[in-house]
Amino acid sequence: MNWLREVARRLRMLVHRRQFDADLEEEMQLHLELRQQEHFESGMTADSARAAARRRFGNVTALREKSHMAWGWEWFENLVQDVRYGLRMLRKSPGFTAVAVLTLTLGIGANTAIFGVINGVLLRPLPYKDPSRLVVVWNDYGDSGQSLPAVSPSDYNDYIQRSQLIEEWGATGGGGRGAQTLVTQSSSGEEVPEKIDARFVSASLLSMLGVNLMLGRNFTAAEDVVNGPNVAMLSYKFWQQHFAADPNIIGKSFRLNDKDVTIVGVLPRDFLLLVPAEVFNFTKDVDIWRPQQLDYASFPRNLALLLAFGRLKNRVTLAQAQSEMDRIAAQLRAENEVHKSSGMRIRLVPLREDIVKGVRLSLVVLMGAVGFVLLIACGNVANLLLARASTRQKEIAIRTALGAGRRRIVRQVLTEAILLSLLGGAFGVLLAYWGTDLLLALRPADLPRVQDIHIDGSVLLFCLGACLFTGVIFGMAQALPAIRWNMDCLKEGTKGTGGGGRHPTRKILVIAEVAMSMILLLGAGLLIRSFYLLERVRPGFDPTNVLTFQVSAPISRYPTPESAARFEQAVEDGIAALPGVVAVGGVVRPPLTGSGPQTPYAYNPETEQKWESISADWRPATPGYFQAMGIRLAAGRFFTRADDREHPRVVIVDDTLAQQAWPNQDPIGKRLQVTYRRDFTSPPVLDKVYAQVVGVVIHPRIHDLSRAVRPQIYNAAAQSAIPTLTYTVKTAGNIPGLEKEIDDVVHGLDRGIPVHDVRPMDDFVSDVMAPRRFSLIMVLIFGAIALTLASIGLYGVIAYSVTQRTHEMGIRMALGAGPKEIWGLVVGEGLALAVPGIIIGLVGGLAVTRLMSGLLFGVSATDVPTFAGGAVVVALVAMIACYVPARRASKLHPMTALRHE
Amino acid sequence: MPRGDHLHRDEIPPGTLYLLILKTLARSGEMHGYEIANSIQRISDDVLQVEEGSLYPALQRMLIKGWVTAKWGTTAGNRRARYYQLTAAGRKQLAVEMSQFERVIGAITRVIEAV
Repeated sequence: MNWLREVARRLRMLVHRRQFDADLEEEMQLHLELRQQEHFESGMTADSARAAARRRFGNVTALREKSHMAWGWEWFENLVQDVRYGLRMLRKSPGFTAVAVLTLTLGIGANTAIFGVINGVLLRPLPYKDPSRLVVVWNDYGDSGQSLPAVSPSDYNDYIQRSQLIEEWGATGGGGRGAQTLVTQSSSGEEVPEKIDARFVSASLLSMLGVNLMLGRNFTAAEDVVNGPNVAMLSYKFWQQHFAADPNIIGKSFRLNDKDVTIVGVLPRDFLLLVPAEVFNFTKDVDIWRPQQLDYASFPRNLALLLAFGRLKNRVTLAQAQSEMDRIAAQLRAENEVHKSSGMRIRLVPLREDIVKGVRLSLVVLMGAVGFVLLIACGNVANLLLARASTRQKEIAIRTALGAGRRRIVRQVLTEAILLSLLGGAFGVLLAYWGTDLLLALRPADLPRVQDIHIDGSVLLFCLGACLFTGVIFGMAQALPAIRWNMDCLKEGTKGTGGGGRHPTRKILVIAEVAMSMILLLGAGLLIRSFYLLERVRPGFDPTNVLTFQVSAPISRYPTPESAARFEQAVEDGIAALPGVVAVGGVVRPPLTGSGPQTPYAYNPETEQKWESISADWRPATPGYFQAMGIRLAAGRFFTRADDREHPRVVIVDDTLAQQAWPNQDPIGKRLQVTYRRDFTSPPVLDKVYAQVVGVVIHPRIHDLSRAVRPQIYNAAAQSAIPTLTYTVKTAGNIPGLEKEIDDVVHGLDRGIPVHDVRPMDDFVSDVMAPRRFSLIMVLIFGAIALTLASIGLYGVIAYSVTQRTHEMGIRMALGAGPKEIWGLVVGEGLALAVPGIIIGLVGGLAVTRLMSGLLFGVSATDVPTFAGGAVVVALVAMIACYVPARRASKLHPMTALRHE
Repeated sequence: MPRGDHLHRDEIPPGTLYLLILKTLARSGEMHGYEIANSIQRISDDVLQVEEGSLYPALQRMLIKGWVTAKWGTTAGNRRARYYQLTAAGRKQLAVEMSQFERVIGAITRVIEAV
């Protein structure tokens, strides 16, 4: 602890350093006087006594400094001095300070805001217990078969039994809106049915994630068994809205699906189950949580309907766990014919990676773009600093002449630079707070982990790092030329010879700025082209004037597939009769509403052998669906009401599948092996059936407008067992009051069935475009800022140069040069900077835009029109930046110019 | 440059200034800077000549190390002076420096006598 006491003594010295200095001075003085007196008393004259005393003592100033430095605070005192001096310099030129700070605020603020998003979405650990060890289980089939984060309950059961390296398992087996109906009493005493979002989970899931309940307890293992008790946990929001945040809610019950359900717990406000985007039928706003109560082993092996989570044992790597799961997959393939034919494989994906994989590239591109903005801002501030260099040059020469070391000079310049950047950073944080709100307002709906985005310690730390980084960057740009300057400028008297003209640094900076804004503009241009092309893509369906809504026929009232189908047909008929309705049809999962059901299929002996190694999207639909959605028929016919359970099973395939299965043949009348759900029993029974192809449609892009994902098979809804349909209503235009009329139709058929999730089809299109729109707007904003900053930089250099060359221009004019020549001279100088910048930017663009090819659609990363257009835009902006100085130069009177110092 | 009365005096061997100050303080208790300088010279029969000013940086360093403490007092001539006093750590350091010094001297002596 000795060193601690030493530090304490040093600190005490720092605080009382004036006192210490005075003490030292006094005791040295005493020493000198006593010695002088001694000499004097021994007979020397007063003068020689003083001289002798001084001689014996040594160099007082040097000794005083040595004593002072012994305390080790020299650096600190220098820093204080530098900071004071720097602040004085900044105060002395408020215009310069304001422009520099504003520029830095923009750069640092934008970076901080974007980093805040990156930090929340990509970097922060998930809000669960020990989240780095959580994985999601994916099952992949065959070479081009299904790949989903979904496993069969029987398999899940086997994972639990067989895995040694995964210590905890949790699963959720469905849910979503539509499954559960809550009946509440309206004020008039009428019973109002309401669909709520229930999520079914294993008892282990929430405890595995480490959720601390707000009230009550988690499900017990005893509750998570077949025919277990009717219990539920409430989400915070549901508890607030439906139970008025009753603190004594635990143990009370409410009616759900005509049964009493006991409340055992309430979840915390911020809890959110984060799942991969591919999970089927998942909504974020879960209202209530229920134990899934599944008899895992009773499920067929090929019914993959559980989302399974695992927690790796401590110190087990992903690779180790994966190889164990590979072994288990091999066992399961050997034991089960369905897994053998399908080539089922198990893949573990870290939960965090799975959640953010869709947005990582766009966020990284945004960070890159905003980083460029910061570099350009640095360049501008460095340019401003260098423009002031002519005055500073003299000052620095004087300081050097007085004995300031090179290091001391550099430190002074850097201190000033970092002061500037810290000022910019302080305002930048404010800008970032505001910018984060703006970003969140503009964000695409599918951005995961929004609740984790805020400005926290690590974001502030990043901001501080950005400040120091920028300060050092533009500080060095100023300091390096400064230490090369010599004393010569002192000889030149008052004649100010600017640093800017002679030093290439400013020009290099401007060229770099132009190059970087060129690259940003190329990125923005490519995104704009992609967006434009995607907007014009014909997705194979027509979303205009299509309204969608969901209706579920509860099994309690419609226990057979036939009764459900009759209800669904009645709904369709009722809506078709409404005025303005052009077509109406029902489907499971309309386009762009997330991943939906899939079916394995086979069309020849070979594919029958490898059953389940290939799969297609499986869309039960009613006859009117195709016309309502504008899906076009290529051959054959659509479904009719006659395609019911009394008649042979029929399907409609898309042209992709028809081409793959029966190239150069007529697909109509061909047989396709698929699976149908038999009835409403749970677990569901799937029948492997041959269905006849009656129609071929042009493939609609139902997952993503940018590409066809997999083949599609439509089956007649009345031939399957479908309790919930999404209805699509095509109207002749905007029909006011249509929603109310639809409500009336459904309630006229059955008072107990609510209509929910009413949304126009256009909304879904706009939702899938939202991430692209977001990246596009952001990159465009950053590109615009970059170009503005770069043109300000260019303007600064050219304007400065015009001032420098006024005398020269006067001579040229006197020798007969007209305004045109002068104009050309100035613009030529601007272009001499802009053109290399543009060329470097284009070359750099070739390298950089390739990294964002994952975000592009329909254009290559080296799209020639974009590159050409970008170059023209930058060149034009450069010309505009030169315009004002050029005009000023051309209007100069030759005599004024000649007299110009 | 005339060195005057410095000529017949020996410079203090490097690194021994701490030792001399510590020893002087150990012998005499409290002293101010001037007294320390005088004491070193007197006891060495004016052989050891301190560049007197260099006492002060050394004393500052010893204050930081915690070997000595200082407090203000009054001299016989009624002047304010800073008196230095050895601490326990200073005593320990003196022992360390002493044994180190004796080791070095012993070694040098052996080398010389071996010739």
